[in-house]
Amino acid sequence: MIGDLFILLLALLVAALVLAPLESLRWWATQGAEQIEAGTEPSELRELADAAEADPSEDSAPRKYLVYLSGIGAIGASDVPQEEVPFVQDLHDRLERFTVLDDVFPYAVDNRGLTAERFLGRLWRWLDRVRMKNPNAALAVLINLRNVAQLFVCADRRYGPTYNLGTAREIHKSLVRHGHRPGSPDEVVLFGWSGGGQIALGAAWYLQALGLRVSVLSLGGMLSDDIALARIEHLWHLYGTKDPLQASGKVMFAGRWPIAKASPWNVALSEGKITMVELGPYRHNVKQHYFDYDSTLPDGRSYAGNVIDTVESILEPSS
Amino acid sequence: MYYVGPYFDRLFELIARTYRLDPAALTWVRDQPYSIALTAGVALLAGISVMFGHAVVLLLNRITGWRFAMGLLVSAVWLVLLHVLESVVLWGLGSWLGGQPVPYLTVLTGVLVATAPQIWGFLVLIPYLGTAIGRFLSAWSAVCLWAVTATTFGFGRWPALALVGVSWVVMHLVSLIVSPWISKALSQLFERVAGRPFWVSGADVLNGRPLVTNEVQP
Repeated sequence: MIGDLFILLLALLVAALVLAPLESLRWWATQGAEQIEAGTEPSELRELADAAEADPSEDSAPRKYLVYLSGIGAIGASDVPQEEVPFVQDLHDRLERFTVLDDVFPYAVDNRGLTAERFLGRLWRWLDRVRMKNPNAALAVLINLRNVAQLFVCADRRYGPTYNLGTAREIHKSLVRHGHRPGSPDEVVLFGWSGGGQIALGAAWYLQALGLRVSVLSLGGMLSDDIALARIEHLWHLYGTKDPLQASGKVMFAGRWPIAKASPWNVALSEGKITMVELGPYRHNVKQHYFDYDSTLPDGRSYAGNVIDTVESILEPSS
Repeated sequence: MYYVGPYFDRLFELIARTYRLDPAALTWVRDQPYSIALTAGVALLAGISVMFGHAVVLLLNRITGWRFAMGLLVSAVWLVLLHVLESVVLWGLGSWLGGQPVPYLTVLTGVLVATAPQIWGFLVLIPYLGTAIGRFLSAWSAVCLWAVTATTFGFGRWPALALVGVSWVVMHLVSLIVSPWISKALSQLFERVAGRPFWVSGADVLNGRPLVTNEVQP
């Protein structure tokens, strides 16, 4: 009986993994390729014009943006685990030189949340309600599994190009909505938490191609040896010593093994483009994690406060 | 319907024997009432599984409807041709080196049975891990081919390994020499069938997985 159940669960897991790339492939086959070939859409131009009207300043100096990409627990751009909300608000408050954007869902190429009208929309809406009643509900792990599969789609050299085109396009649209003028050399920091770190790397390749200066700030991210490492300005990887999930990236992705000398990861590492920042004894979740405002470090600061301080010291060192 | 149950029982038995590298697998299947249907069944299952992977590449190339079906058919025919070519090379070299004629059909049977690991070929679709799984399945198929070759030609283990190795080198050389022409011809054929060019290299076409490429550049 237990053996049969195990086989059933394994079969379901394999089926979910095999089917995971289909969403982005379908997007590419039905609309993505045309949208990319068509370039800037009229609607985007309207958004740009609206943004320009909203910002009457004549200042043409490059702007700075920080795009927050949530972890694998997210259901939509505005539907992230509750613990992240005050942290993102802190980013808004503390980073004075940056416009902080948090309206991109990193686990869908078209920025559609899981609870939108989609094939399994009912399932995700139900799981969302379950999670709202009990944030630690075991069933909520299905959301994480679904999003982890998309992380692997992003890191895959076969599927990644189409997936990353989609997410880069959505990030670019968000930048335009917030005042970025296409073609201007604005500075963009993609802040990826957990799985969002890899999604940030994947999208960076295309955003740099659009003329943006792109850096990636990974918070406990599962990072692969993505080819975008050759294009980004810098990668900061903030990690906790008690966080096995972020550490699994250097085991799971062969391009991060030390023997892969010519991999994008090791080349970027040798060029000094990657900075590993040890935050302390942080866990990935549950408690004493990156968003924990209750637990305190020996110096009296909260775990989350220390992360915010570190991010600020990296991005705005003189403030 | 009466024969369906026993057929599938024997089909799965043949697959299990191949996975176990049973040296008597070919002798066993030859003694079965539907030996040709059984070996063809193994190849068919493997082909369907690999075609599932090819379907993704067709989607990447934005090919749907009847063009999608034709694209799958063309790639299936190409896969069959590759295995037939492989069996011809193995048969010619084995007969020449062994000094005794072996019926071609026997060699073809061995080559088809050795495709059994490719029944899991659909797993190459798994993101990130799929590429490694594909390489593992190719290596597993090569080991199966090694085992059945030793039985087919009555060689010992190491001469059979050498034969499989030499046939692989010959296949590779043929691939290198004819790659540009085959690639061009296939691209033209695919374009005629599918209505748009393919983003698949000649090496991808000739690696035994004509449509499943390691990297797709959009």
